Amino acid sequence: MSARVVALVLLVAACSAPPATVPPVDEPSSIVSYLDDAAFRRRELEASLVNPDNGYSRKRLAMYTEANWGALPIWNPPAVRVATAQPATVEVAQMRALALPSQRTEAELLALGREAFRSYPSQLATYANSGLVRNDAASRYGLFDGDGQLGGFVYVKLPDGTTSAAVTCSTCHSTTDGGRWIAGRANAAFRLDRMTADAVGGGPDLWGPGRLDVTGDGVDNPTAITDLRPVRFQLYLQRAATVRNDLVKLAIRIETLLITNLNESVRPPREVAMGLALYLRSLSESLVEPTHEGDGARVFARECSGCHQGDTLTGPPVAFERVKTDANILVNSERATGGVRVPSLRGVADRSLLLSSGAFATLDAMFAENRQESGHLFGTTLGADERAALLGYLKSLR
Amino acid sequence: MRNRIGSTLLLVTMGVLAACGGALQSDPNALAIDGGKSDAPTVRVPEHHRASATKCDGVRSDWVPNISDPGPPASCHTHAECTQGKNGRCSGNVHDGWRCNYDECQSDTECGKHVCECGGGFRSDNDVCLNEGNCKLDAECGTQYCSPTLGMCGDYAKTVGYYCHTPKDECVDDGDCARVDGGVSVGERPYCAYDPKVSHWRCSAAQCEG
Repeated sequence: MSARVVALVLLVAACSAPPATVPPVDEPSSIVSYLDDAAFRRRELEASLVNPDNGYSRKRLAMYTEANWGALPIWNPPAVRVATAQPATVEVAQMRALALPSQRTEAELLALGREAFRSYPSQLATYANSGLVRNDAASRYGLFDGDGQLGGFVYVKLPDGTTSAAVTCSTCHSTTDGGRWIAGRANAAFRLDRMTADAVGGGPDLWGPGRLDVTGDGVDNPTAITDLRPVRFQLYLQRAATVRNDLVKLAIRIETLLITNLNESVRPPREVAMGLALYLRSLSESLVEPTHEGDGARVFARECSGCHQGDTLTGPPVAFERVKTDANILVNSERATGGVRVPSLRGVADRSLLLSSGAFATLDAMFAENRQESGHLFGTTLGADERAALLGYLKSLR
Repeated sequence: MRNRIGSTLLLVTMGVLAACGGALQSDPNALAIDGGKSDAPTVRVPEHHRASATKCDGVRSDWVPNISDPGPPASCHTHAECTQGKNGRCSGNVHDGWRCNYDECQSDTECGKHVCECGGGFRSDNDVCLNEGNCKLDAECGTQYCSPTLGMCGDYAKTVGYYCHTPKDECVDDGDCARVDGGVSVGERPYCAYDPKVSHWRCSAAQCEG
């Protein structure tokens, strides 16, 4: 809330008969600053970028100003979740824009983020209009049934009165397990490559399930969809440790991601970006705390804890030469920093695609003796007993 | 992700002269004068637009696939295997793999309300029905033109649909976008595309998710 509004409220309150009450300001100051202070946002953006010279950073340094991206119209269109039962039915009458909280307390923003995760159109997906109505859409494109919502998709109302499918955060970053919807966990079955190809007559499967090429660097370098549940623990964001992480920096990361996903023609309400940041950080509560007892924990401490440290099981970036995997993503991409993010292993037992490229479908495959794939060889030379102990420990990290 | 190969010198020149922040219809720097729409003398003719419906010739590349084994994913090895549709070809490359693809159409009449795009197949040259757009021909756009556009994923796919240009357009051709964000991001080559969120054409550098 701006100082001017606060002053006005206080003034009105002081002149009223009942005792003055201070408006609810139970939000951390950083949340208010992010929402209301452009100079603060700019400083935080600059502080978040590890390598100001890579393409990702240059774009944001050039555009994240009030005159550029800040001047874009705010996009909060009427939308409705695509119903698993009737994906071809667009319930225009039920379309609603997200209700932005008036007080902007942390609790309100968190609730907004929870809703936005499944309902805010993070990218228009006209390519999905034909795919979603296929009888085999769920199996062909790896779409989950999230409590009646097909693959996390929504239909949105456009300015010209037409409607279109759009993805939400949950399309890529959630899945189901035994019928239970799990927010934040990567959808390792999602076939965006196939869906986009089918919209223009079909074509080869370029990226494979659970992978997206997120860079415009002229190279086909799809990366596995990230497990967002441990994002609170991460010191850095993105595979190449491109962005430093805290609540505000994550909100800015989300805001700029949405702007580029939305073709830089509109921007999300900042309450949505902050709400999503709060919500994503809350997902860590679903992950079990690691134990430090037992044979597996001891092997882990010896073999892995140099990088995957403490209870967060992450740490500062490491040099690419230490892991030597996925150079196209970590070194040659427009997001490179010279370092590699150390992913938190909290929740690793539930991940289906491991390493940046998703080279391994299981922990067993990743730590298999004499595996053919190079890179991240830690733990692959252990004896049978220690390997089993380590795998048992990693599989306890749900 | 791969990017669209660059524009011509003419287009770059047009891009330098044509402001991208406003409607080009009223832009005094607009270069070309319409030759076909007499009631709209200041509308610039897009480099690509659809004056009339075309019937695809059905001629496909006779290039013979050279598929190694072991190699990339291959669901076919010869054209002769592709018998499940019209004009089948086994096509692909060592990067994308190999698969049969077929012509879906020869003319718009086979594609409902959208265009039959000759040679528009995804990383192939088969003729396909597009699945989006708000026009098939210039005649449907009043004083404006009906042009092909890339979609949300840029040149990851080819043309995804045809849309009418509008008075609010911020660009007409890719060349208008050459200086917008140009060089800001590695490999980024902005293009002029229809944006349904704002219902007009504007420069974009989007490449799927990110």
